[in-house]
Amino acid sequence: MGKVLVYGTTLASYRAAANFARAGHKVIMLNRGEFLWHKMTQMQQQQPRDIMNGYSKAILLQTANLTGNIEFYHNSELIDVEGGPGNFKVKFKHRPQTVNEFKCIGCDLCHEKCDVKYIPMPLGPGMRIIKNAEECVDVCPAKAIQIPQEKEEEVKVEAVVLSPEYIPESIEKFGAGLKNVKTFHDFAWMFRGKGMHKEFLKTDDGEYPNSVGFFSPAGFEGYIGSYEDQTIVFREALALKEMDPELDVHIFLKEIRLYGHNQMRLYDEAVEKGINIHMIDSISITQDGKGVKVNDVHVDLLAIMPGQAIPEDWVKLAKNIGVDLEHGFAKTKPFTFETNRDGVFVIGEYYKPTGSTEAIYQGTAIVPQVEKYLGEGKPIAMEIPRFEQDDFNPKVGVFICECAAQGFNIDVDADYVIKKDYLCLHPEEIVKEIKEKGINRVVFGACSPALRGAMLEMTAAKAGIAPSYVELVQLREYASRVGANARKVNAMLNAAIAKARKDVYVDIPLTETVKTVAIIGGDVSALIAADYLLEKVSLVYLITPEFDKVFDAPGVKPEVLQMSNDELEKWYTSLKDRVMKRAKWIKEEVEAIDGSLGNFTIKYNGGEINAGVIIIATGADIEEKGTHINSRMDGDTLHSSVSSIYAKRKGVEATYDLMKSYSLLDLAPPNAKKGEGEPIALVKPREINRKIAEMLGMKLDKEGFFYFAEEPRYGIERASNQFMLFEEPFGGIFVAGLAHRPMSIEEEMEEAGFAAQSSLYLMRDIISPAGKFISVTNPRKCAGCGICVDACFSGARYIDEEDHIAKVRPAQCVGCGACANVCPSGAAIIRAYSPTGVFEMLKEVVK
Amino acid sequence: MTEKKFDPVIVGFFCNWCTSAAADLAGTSRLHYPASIRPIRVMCSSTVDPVYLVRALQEGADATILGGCHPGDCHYITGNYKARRRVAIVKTVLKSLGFDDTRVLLEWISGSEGPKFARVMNEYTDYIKKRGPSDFKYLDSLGGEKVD
Repeated sequence: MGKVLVYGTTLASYRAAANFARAGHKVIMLNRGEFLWHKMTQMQQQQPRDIMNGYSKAILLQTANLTGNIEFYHNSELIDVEGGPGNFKVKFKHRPQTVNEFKCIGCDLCHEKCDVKYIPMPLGPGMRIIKNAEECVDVCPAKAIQIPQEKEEEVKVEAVVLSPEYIPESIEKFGAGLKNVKTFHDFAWMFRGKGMHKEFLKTDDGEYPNSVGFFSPAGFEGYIGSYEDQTIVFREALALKEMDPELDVHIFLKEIRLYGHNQMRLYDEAVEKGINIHMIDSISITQDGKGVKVNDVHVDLLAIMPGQAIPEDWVKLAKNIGVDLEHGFAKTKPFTFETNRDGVFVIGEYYKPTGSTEAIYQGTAIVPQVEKYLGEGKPIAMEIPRFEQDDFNPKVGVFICECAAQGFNIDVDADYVIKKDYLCLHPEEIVKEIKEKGINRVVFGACSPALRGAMLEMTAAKAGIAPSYVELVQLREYASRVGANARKVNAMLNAAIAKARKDVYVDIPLTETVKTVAIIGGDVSALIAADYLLEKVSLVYLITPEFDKVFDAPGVKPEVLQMSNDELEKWYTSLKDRVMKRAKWIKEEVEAIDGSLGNFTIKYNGGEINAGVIIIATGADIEEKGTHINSRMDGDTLHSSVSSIYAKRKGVEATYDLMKSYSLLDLAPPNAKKGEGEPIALVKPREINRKIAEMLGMKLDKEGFFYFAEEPRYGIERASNQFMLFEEPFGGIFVAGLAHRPMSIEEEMEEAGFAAQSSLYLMRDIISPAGKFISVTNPRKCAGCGICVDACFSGARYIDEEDHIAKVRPAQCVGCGACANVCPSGAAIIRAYSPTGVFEMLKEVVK
Repeated sequence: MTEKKFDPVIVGFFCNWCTSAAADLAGTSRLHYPASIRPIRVMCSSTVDPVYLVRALQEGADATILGGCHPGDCHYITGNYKARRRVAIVKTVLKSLGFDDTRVLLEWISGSEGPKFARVMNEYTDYIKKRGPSDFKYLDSLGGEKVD
């Protein structure tokens, strides 16, 4: 079991810590704030209302609880890192949280009795700091209040991952002290928790503005930032326009920097909806009456999306640890996250300007790179407890948590009603009561399942009650705290009791997987993924007639951007040699693919193989023609990521249309002028993509690139959204590299690492992610019409060719219930949520 | 006959990932809304069969709310679009049968929008209070047989 220290809590490090823990390593997470998400990160600055804020934290806490592999230290600061890889001695100081966020049960007693400072959070209820913690320790029934005494610790770890948070650049230089000029964060914060609604949009004078402007300084001198800056500006402008079509919305830009699939459609949509996009060369912002004048356009309210500044503590940290910096970012060895100091890695904002999608890729791709220094990981064993089932003699016990019920008179129709002060603090008493009284259906009247749901279900499981026999009623958040009456409380409880009586036993299935990976294609990313996988998987197939050459877009970080062609070639050859020694190369094209996650059958001319997971890395052809930095071709996919690097490396007098540089490149922009011409690098996806997409039921964009983890149908790319879940929804099929979109080798490394690490998680038997909400088919009712197959977004349903009825692939089912809803004959059902139960519930809930 | 104060019952089906989370947030923030709201947590707004909505009205609810994630934010990618189509159909059917179609409400409330949740619940309850008891109840009072 390895031990890793993760410093800083950015989106990337959140995901990294969760991934290390899942891979079975111990993680020491040094959080620099009083609680998680206390320190501003890029994510919070740019998208304070985005749901990702909550999910990334939820995933981390969930993993920490499930694996027990993460130790958190708060208010911490690195002092010293001694030693080398496999044997680091790290000294740091930390100060415990005044409220231990893992122990807090949210009873709010401290609010009544202590001096509490409440800090609103981007998402969720906000956190608290207790000023007089010393006197308050005894107030908390859960013993969550701690004395904030600074301590020094020394730990031994095998690797260190740095991911300190960034600070936004000051907007002073654009509109110092002007009225009605806000940072984007402050603008977005106006709608926090309330939704985009006219009444919340206000100028500094408290009036509703007639016009709103957005300005992103990308392309101006000194600007550093990720492409996400502009994506978000476009998204927010579109959202405003949707809220109020009469509102005059302006966007001021020098360059348009977007990223990946579909994002050019943001631009098209903005034009279509009548948003005024001003392409400017210089900017002057002056006060104009109550509003401001941007060049010669008047707006009542201006939101500036700041780029990124290099914080002083980054420099201090680098000096302290002995990491070299370049332009303020940590220098790394080519195509890795490893710094010049062996065993010290960087991801996230410290690595390079990083958007949120990329941050999640990085947080996963780092695992195989660090693992070479770590001991063997011990992932938690996949075990499904079995229970005695009894669907016919329900004996319902209602457990009421007084903290949640707060004195309401409970009068319900159950076999037993048991009241406790704090249910979550006395699980052993629950187990005892269940066993003593012979209860076989449990209804908990407690707080939010998000807080204690899993814990209560586990407690019931300890007493031999299957999760499908447990019902949770949120008395606290849904009733007692929002001004409910006894009638509502009892109706809610009775509804749950009625449903509990109808509950049936649901068996949670396990899918066995074939422990091999098939990589289709000969892209650079195919080799990188294979290189990572071969460390852990004994058999990796590479199915491709030939391998692509290394191409001339290594990346935007100076250390790779400046690599000579020879160095690049050398790196590639050694990678290929390493892989070829161990992987099995099938020198054929794919002809047919059958099966699903866990067991694919891939046929090629002369044979067939089985694999649990498929990685598509078919690569692309790159045609070098002229000297123009082309932003888009026929589709909505952005090409500048590759072409701007080509222009920079070739040092030619290039022309550009929308965007001349990408991420860090603009520190030394190519000598480019606006204009037109033949593209410098035309990335053309391969023909075979169409065949593969058809075989796997995947979608391609207009140009022929694969969609992966993004939703093709709704215009605005929400890739980050899809990553909220882990691997299962991808159905065991990953896309990496140029098959996905034009990208540099640096980005290929991130995507290949993501595909490899995610495949590894699927290389063990998979418990259905739906849990007790698994969907099943009643074979007697199913007509085999296939409507449910179309309704299922995760590809979990298919028509069995022999029986001609719909069947479920448990490994892919996520339990949303879309199939049950569309089934015309009532054959597709979620047994834990059957109509019988719901109807019983509805009878009671309206009383 | 003296008029009795009308205390409606509104059944809310809230998706696990967004609207339920918003309801949680409203709870932790102690934002009061009328006790007439009876929340039921479902995995996704697309889990809610149109029949559930009608059934709730039939059982005596005065109105129903279906709460989901904002378009494009669905945890299950497209569930909320399915819900939207279904609610449109339910409304059409109710209307064409002569029932009040405003008694089915679809709202997008994301996990961070606790205050919005409370506001919607308040406004909708007020609206239903003005509107009076559901027509389904009126049918009941005529002694019509309940259809199963």
